[in-house]
Amino acid sequence: MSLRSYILTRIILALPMIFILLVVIFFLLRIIPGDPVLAILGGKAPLEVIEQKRHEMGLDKPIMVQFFDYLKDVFTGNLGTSTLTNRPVIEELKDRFPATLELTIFAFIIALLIGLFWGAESAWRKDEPLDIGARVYSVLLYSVPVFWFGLILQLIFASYLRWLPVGGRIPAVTSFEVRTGLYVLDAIMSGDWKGLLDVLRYLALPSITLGMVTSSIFLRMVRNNTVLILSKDLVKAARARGLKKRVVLYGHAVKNAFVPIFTIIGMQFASLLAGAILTETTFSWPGIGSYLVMKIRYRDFPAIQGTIIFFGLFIVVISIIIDIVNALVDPRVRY
Amino acid sequence: MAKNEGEAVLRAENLKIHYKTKKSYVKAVDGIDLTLRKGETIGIVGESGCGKSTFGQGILKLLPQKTKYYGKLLVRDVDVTPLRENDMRKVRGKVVGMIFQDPMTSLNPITKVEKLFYETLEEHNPGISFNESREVTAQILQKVGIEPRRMREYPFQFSGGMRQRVMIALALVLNPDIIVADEPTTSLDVIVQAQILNLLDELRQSYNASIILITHDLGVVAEMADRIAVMYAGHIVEQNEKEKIYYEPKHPYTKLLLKSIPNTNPKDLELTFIPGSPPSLVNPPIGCRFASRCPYKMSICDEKEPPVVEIDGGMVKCWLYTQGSDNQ
Ligand SMILES: Nc1ncnc2c1ncn2[C@@H]1O[C@H](COP(=O)(O)OP(=O)(O)OP(=O)(O)O)[C@@H](O)[C@H]1O
Ligand SMILES: [Mg+2]
Repeated sequence: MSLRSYILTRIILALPMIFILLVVIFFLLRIIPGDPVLAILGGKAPLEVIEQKRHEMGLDKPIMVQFFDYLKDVFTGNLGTSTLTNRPVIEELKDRFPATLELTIFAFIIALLIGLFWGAESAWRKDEPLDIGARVYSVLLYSVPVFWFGLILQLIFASYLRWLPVGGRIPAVTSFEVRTGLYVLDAIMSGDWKGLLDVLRYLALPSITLGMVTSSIFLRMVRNNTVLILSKDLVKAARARGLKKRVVLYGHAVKNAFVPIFTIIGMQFASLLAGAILTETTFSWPGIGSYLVMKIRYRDFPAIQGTIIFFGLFIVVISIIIDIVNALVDPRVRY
Repeated sequence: MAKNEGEAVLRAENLKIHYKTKKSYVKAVDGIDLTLRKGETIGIVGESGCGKSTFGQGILKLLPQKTKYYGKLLVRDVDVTPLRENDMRKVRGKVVGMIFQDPMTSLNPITKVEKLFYETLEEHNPGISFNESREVTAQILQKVGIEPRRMREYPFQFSGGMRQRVMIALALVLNPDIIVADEPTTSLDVIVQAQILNLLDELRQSYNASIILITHDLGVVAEMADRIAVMYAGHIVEQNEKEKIYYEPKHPYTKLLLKSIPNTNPKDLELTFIPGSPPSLVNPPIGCRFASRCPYKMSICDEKEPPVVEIDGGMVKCWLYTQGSDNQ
């Protein structure tokens, strides 16, 4: 099977998943307590106003009619209008997505670097202090809630030491031209180094929080798989040819250790996004995660549904990208 | 002895290799003497766990870091026992090449063959270009019977026998003086086994290399080896020329080992096996290590370790042959 038809199959297989997600979220929202009209108008509004608003929002129609209207909209690419702001949900997501993407990319890189190097070196020095440290680190960070860890970092580095900002993404106006919405990239493209430093200062705490929490799982996976490969003859054979530790460890052992890791990295990414929601809320990071939390508070059904579908699609796209990278590392997937 | 006149490329003198475990040392190789000469093939035989692989991998110090080495192990006149990792790397591949048992696990399946060769050549000849490396690779692949264009493939695309050929080419590409082959054919089917052994032998001649052939298959050594060393529980109990070992074995263990070769003669279907099991390598007995299983056991055998006796052009470590030489 060629890579292209493989990817196509993956997308087609993902569609029913997205559909199920869509059905579940639609009905779940209507089962859980909380009324969107009351959430907007407050409990003291006169009854006529409430009825009027309910009619405007189409919530007085039978639920199945609402459901099929909604399906029709989604399949024509319309995620509806926020009942809170009256703006198209798509527009709002577009505004907020770059912030989430930037945060998750940096968190992912941090997690990968910690997991890869510390994991590999721990495997090489199994049971030595570095390895024991890795085990303690990954157990601690695995069991700590993201938002709590974020709060602690915030307390230390923002409130107490005052090295970094407490939250937010950047002062209201950026000193550089926003083209991609990924501020790090935008600042670099404009050659605005002072701006870049500012951007990084805001990005540091949220991405380190999310990155370190995610790294605990990576670290453990890389370390355990590498230990397993290191005991194999291919490592002894590589050493028997006089190769350096760097080549033996990263070129042979870790490379092979990554093959099983790739299959779970996709799922890891989903939990990274879940972590992003909490991290964004902790640091008032204006991404899709904090958007979702805010919209849930106001029972903004279209916005919540739209965000969930968006998350679903995002995870599908990421797992396909991961599959492609996997095929590049492991030729057995390609042939 | 014409054979004993060649230059010695490897010499073990009272070599001991002890693995460290949590509470103790496993004395897997416990005082062996062996000389390998240029162009010669020595077969090392013995039952499972007697320390053959430990010796083979000990030559390149590939064993766990905490492993202790005592005595001397001269590789081309350099004692490697005190060498550290960085100095050992210059010996590995360049002076001693190694072939492992299972090419399915000893060859990285997802790195292209040409890259395996390149990284090996590059390590020992810094600055070599990828194209130069490919030329060298093409030549050696040709020699081991693989089409050079297959260097662009991955090892997982090769059959077992073909992989072992790649492994052999990889062990020979730096033209080492010594090849350690640890059960090189055990994982292959019989026909491929014979091909691989022939190939090894041809290459030994054309490269004028020496081979240490580790196996528990006496048929394999019968085909290839010039001399045979029989190991038992960390000791070499007998060594001599192949013919002497086969037709005039001295040590009781060698005799029993030869008897236990499955016979194809239908009249002689009864299989002899050696009753009992080898002693612990953590606390080996003070006397002869084979005593508990030996049909010729004498009282001294339990009390004192037998000396190595020179006899019939070879050596045997057994009390039965000490008459005349005065007990030390
Ligand atoms: N890393 C290690 N730590 C401790 N003991 C070990 C280690 N590796 C091997 N041993 C022990 O050393 C002894 C010799 O092992 P070795 O692998 O050299 O045997 P072998 O003769 O090659 O056997 P086989 O024919 O099964 O390959 C065995 O008792 C084994 O259990
Ligand atoms: Mg072995």
